Amino acid sequence: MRQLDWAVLVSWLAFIVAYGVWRGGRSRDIQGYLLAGKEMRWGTVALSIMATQASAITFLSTPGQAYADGMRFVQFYFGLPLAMIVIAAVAVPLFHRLKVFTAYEFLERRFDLKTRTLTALLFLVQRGLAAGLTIYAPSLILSVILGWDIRITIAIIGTAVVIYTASGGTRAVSRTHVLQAAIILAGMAATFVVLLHSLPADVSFLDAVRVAGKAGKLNAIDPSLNLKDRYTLWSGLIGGFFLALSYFGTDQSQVQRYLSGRTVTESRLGLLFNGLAKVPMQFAILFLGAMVFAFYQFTAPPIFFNPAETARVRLSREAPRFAAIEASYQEAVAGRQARARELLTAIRSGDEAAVDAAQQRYRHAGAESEAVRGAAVKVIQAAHPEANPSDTNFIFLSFVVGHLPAGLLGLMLAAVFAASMNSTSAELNALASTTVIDVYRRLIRPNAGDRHYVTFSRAATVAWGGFAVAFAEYAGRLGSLVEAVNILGSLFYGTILGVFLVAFFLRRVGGTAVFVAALVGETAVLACFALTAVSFLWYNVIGCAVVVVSSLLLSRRRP
Amino acid sequence: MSEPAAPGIRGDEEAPPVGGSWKVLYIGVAANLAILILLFYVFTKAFE
Repeated sequence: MRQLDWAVLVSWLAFIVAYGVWRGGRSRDIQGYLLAGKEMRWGTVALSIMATQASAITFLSTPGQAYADGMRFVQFYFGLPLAMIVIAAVAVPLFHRLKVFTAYEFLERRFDLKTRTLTALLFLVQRGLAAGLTIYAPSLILSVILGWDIRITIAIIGTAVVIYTASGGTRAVSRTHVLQAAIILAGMAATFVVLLHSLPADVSFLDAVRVAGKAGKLNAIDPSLNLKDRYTLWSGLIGGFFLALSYFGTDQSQVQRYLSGRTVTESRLGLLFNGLAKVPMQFAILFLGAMVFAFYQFTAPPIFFNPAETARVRLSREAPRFAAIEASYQEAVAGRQARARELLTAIRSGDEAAVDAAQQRYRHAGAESEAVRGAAVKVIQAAHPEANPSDTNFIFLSFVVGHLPAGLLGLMLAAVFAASMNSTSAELNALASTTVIDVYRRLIRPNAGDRHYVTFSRAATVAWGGFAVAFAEYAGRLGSLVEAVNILGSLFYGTILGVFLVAFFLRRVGGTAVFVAALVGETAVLACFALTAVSFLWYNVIGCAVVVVSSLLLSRRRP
Repeated sequence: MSEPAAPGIRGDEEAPPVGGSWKVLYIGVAANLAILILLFYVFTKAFE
């Protein structure tokens, strides 16, 4: 980090906090604070929806995903546009007409209080823990790459977000989302330009694309019907549809974004714009990762992209073995570079037989270098068994820190902080709304004035922010429990989605039937979790299906 | 479910600013997805 980078980063963080406080204003009524007075235009709604979903991990991990596994991850998003259509057509007019603040409030109008309270509490548990991870995950990566104490990065993100979210509520969240989205776009575009300029003089952009393609990294579509493969066209369309329907239709952190639209039309247009832009955006981020891969076919990459782990192994008793493997890796990488250039020569000649032969030799060289890298990872784990063998999350930021010029590095780091703050601010805002509207105002103090609820909402935002920061500080000590918290979301999403689908589409099902069905669905998901080896990605489908079918069966006996 | 619309809410069936009807916009979003999938497939095949 050079002085110019520090200047850019600190200036941006200070500016965004001041801007959020300024644009958030001082709302005195609860609709102004929690729904931005329902005055947002569709462009702001759209950017706010996209910024909420795209956390810092999206921008740090997705390019690494393309580097390691190719671009097929883009298929995961294919169900999203279809979910946007369903939500725009069904949920948005209902929510607007009923003038609800939260999605769970709608469930009381449709069913009863107990169903509303159950879903609101499930959301608070799940999203409260997730907010801590939203801060922790990018903080860990930034601290490792930059050599900062993780408590500093957690404190910076947490404090900045709490200040403007508590001060300005939803208006501050939505307004800052627009500016933060702009700097993220600028940071990613600048990185792409630098990446292209960093390619060797004799390797053009098209050459880089061709090499990435021949290495199998541009595999955007896989139409196979292999159910064991997580990312295919069909799993993306079907599984991605259910996941997006759950997230955008029932998660208050997203519902609150489009409820701030001034009309049904503005909310719908915001969602549909997301449906148009999300897939190309993810494609662009993955393509950036594929280009980082191409870059490292002509420039030697680090043997392991997590610098903290390589530094630790060099100080351990495994240091001599690791040094020997590093020397072998340099040789293997040099061989791979030579094969990559041969492949380019063959492609330029247009001789298909020569291309096939060169591609075979290039892939063989790639497999050799990966085998040496695999041996290095084993040594890292031998030295420190608790070390994470995956360095995918560090690939992109490692390139950024190593190759971006002064100023642009600060810009890119500001973009990473911006992405983290975007998701966190929306989560805290939604947690505060649900706490105030579905719990405090509904169950504890129903008849207070607007100013009281606004003050309580600010206090709830600060409290949830403090909880998220505390959980983020503690998350590093949880080890495997961090993964368990990720699974936690899937334990509840299916049940909540099932309740909402019944509410929207099965008009004859009543409150008691759906409440019992939700308990049955949740029990089924927890049983799958405890007693079977079913992948947690299927919990959404199982929970949702059990709730819908149970509701239908129970409603025949008891409406 | 039959409450009057909130101030500023001009009703569910207001036509969108482009396309003439919401149905056309929904079809447009679905068609955009279909075109993207087709383009990505061509992209995959062109460089594999």
